[in-house]
Amino acid sequence: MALTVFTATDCLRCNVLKRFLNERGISFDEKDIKSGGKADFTSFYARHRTAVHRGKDGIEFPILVDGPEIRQGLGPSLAYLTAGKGLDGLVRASTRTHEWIDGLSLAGDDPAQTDALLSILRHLNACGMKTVLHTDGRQAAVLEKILKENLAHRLVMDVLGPPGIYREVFGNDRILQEIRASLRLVVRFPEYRFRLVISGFPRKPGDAPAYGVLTPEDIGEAARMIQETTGSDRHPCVVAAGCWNGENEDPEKPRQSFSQGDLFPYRSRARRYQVFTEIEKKEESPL
Amino acid sequence: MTYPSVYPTGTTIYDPKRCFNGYTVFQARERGALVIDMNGAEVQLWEGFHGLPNKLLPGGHILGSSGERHTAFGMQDYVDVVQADWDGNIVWKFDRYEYIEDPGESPRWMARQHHDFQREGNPVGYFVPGMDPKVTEGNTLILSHKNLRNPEITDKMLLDDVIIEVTWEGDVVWEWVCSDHFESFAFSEEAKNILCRNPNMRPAGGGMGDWMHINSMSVLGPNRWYDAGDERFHPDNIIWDARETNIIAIIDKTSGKIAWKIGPDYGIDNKLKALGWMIGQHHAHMIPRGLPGEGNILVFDNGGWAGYGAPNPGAPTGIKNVLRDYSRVVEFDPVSLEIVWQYTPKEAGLVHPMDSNRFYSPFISSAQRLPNGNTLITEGSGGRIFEVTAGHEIVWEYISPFWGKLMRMNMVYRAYRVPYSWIPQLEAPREVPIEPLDVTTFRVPGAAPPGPRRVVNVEGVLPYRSSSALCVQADLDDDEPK
Repeated sequence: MALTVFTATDCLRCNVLKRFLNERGISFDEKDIKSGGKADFTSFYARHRTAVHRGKDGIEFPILVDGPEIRQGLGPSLAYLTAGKGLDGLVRASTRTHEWIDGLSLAGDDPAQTDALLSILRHLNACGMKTVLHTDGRQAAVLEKILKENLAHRLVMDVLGPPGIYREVFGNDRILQEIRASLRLVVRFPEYRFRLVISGFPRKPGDAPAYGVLTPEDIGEAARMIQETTGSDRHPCVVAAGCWNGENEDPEKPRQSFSQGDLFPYRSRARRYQVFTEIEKKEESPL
Repeated sequence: MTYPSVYPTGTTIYDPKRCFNGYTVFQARERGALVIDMNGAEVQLWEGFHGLPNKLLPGGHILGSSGERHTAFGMQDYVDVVQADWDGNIVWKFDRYEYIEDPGESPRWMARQHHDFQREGNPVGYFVPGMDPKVTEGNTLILSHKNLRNPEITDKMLLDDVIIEVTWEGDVVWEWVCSDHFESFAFSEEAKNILCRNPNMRPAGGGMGDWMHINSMSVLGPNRWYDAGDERFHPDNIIWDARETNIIAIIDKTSGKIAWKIGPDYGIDNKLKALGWMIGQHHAHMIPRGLPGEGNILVFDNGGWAGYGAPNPGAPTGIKNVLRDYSRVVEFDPVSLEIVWQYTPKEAGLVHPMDSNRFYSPFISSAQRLPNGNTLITEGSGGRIFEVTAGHEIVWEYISPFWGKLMRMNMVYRAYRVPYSWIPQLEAPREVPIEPLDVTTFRVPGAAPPGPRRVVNVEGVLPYRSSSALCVQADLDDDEPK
């Protein structure tokens, strides 16, 4: 089945997607909603309302349709064309406007996924787009490659806890080497930010309770790890409230989250080692 | 505001029997935190100890600050909040709110405090029977600054007001950021327009918009409104006022939302019209339980120039578009908005409006309700602190003799009266009455005594008449027979 791409006249992101398709010789049927394609889109939208997000500024284009598969936004469309469903969850619709694009995550250690993401970043870069890339610090070597090729303009790194948490979750010290290498790389990007994410984690066997939420002291130690690894206490940092399911991540339990007021002790602790730490606002985009 | 070149300073009026006698503390211009007795004796100076404001605590302790951020980079940013004891030893200090790196200055933590703070135990920072502020423990609410951008207001850097709550250990446990509630203030489109173009830009730090300029912050404390079920007046809620927008507001301590407000527009209903425009006001607070007038709001309504709105000849671009050339102290009911008590030029015995500017401080100033029903008023720009009875008689007056070298004014930001018992290190002073001088006969050395040397009569002269001969209409005209 041929691809359909809903676009809007003079839409920068639509042009970037069309260039991607044309360069790879992929045929598609373009429906420009401002130039004859409005009726088709109206009909499509009426049948697929749940798949099309309408934000406060309206509907974001392009929208890629491949039979039952629908992807809205440049990032998810490129991800689908590059890796099918392989990057679902790692590439989301961008919250940025104009030439900036976010929603791209570097996570996991699947080489195929990594290659696909690099391919997307190269195309975006070639088209003059500026990318905001998310990482959890687990692929330092790929991060280094991205840095060398100037494929990301802003880096956001989630720091998931103090060293002990990484050891506990991943069961080895190798992960810490990886995280520390990423910390050192992130600060070399033109713009960057560390997110100290407050989330749940399993405690060591014998600890009570067996599952817990990071404490202000934990977040302070995470900030300290950044300071000790990078040699500076003046990086852009935010404390970010994660979500968790509670003990043993029981999916039946309602997810819990912090209120703004709960976060102040975390910020105070983090500021001991990263003096510019702020609390991430709910509506705040990653950078 | 109309001063002669020569006039007495220090205590100028004192009727001990009608005063709430005690010590008065204020920031003596470029000298330090000063405590005076009723006769004006300077009983203790914490030399060089800053304070915007200074407040006394029971036991002879004082709250203030060790200094101000360099004014090239900050606007009224005090580096810390410090509690010192009678001997000047630092008992408590907070500065870990923001890490500041100003060019040429040593990087350091700063509280960025300005205009107010409140220690737990007392809602307003002045003497209330049975509500002593805590001295060796307790949280402190601090009014501070934060620089940020908010595209809903303007694309310019804003000097925003924040309120933080700090534990005795120095941890920030609560924070309220003013600009987060911009839409709640209900500015008109005209006001939003000028706010966007000029949010009261100040030159510090390359330019920042001091758009709200909150200058007072206190807790409501227990009150009859909440007791009657009005949740807007929860005892933990916080009241503040802002000179640039003419707003007085109460924020819900739990949600941070605006629970009650008057301003920025006082023309939108008859209640507000009757209350009259607050202009550049200071020290709006709820009179605490236990004091006469408890539950009412007391405010020094400066007048001067403030607000955002439609341009007019006095405000060609629409900034500071509300103008008035005299001050008033107003006590009003926060529910009915009816004025309960006031001290305006009329109560001061001045001919209005010709002579109204004799009671006028276009900035700073305050009003404290005293246990005997008197009110201690700081008419700040002229360094005048005076105590008036409920019947508007002045029973104590003090003129600050402290002119600054850097700022040639004897201004007093805010003065507070405390009972003698709050400074146990001192024996209660002798109270010496001072009768007001008769200024019609008082002469400086070398001046001729009063009275004409020779009097002659001119045949046919008419008696003097009242104010109708003045160039503008006076309120006295209303009293004249028609």
